[in-house]
Amino acid sequence: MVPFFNSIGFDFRGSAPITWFFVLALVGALVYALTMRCTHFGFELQVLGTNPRAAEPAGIRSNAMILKAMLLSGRSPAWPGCRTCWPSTTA
Amino acid sequence: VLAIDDRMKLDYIRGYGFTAIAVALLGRNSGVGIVAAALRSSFLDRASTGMGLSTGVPKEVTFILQGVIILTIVVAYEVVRRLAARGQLRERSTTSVPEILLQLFGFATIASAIRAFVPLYLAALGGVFNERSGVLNIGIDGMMIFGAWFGAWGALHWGPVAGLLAAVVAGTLVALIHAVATITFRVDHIVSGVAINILAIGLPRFLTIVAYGQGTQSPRSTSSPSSASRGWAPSRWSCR
Repeated sequence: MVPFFNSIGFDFRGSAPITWFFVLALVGALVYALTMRCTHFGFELQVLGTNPRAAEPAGIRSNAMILKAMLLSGRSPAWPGCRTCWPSTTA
Repeated sequence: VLAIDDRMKLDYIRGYGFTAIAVALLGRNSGVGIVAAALRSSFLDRASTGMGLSTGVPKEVTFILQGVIILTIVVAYEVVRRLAARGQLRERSTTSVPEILLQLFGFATIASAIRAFVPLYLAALGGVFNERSGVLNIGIDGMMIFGAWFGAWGALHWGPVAGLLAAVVAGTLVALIHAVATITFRVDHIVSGVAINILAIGLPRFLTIVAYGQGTQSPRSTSSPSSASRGWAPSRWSCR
């Protein structure tokens, strides 16, 4: 499967314009959209961001939500650090 | 970061986090919006480098141009939004932005911009999660640097999968420190973010000195792109 993707321009190391981390970024966009639109967490996060004062009476634990958002926020920027440390399967 | 000269260079990733904050804000916290904003930023960055090389324009001028363009986009967005709200925007421009870009720049610039887009977008995605909760994460740049260092360190010693996991764990831990400071101890999140960025200037550099004996870079990985017989073999990923 990986050699097939390499043959059409995908590359682990970043020499090709479309890398595996480009695909990861697109998957991340999809996950973000689904999280925000389809999950309870996403809905609560949007409510908290839109109106923090209304969030507490609505039963949203703001501190816990901010903590989760921060942990997610720290995880995503860490990926680019090793975006190109994958060895290519092409010889 | 190991793709640059096959070694970890801390200076490579610095500055991306702050651009990512601007990208997240320009993208209006929308998944599609930050894709466009990240592509715009990476394109400007790469095109400015090419322009500087071909025309001799100093790099500082291109930074000024980038700042002006960002401000123009923000102001134009607000002007258009207000005009549309008043019902005065009756005609839309028929000129396609991608067409203009393709006419102005070649494939190499676009390809380079796509490569630069990925780290910017992933960082902005992290920023968007935080901004959705109403808190601006200033420390993204620091989290990227920590993620870069531990990702490269893990990849150099135990292979790419370990590198990826190490980067994620490092980024999460730094975010946890940021969260504990801001939520538990009620420290202002701007102050806490700036502290993390300052920490990220010093600590990875110190760790690099301790681990590799050099200030800003690691030894070359044995599995380099120039190696003819590179393959999927994590055991080959060790320091010289």
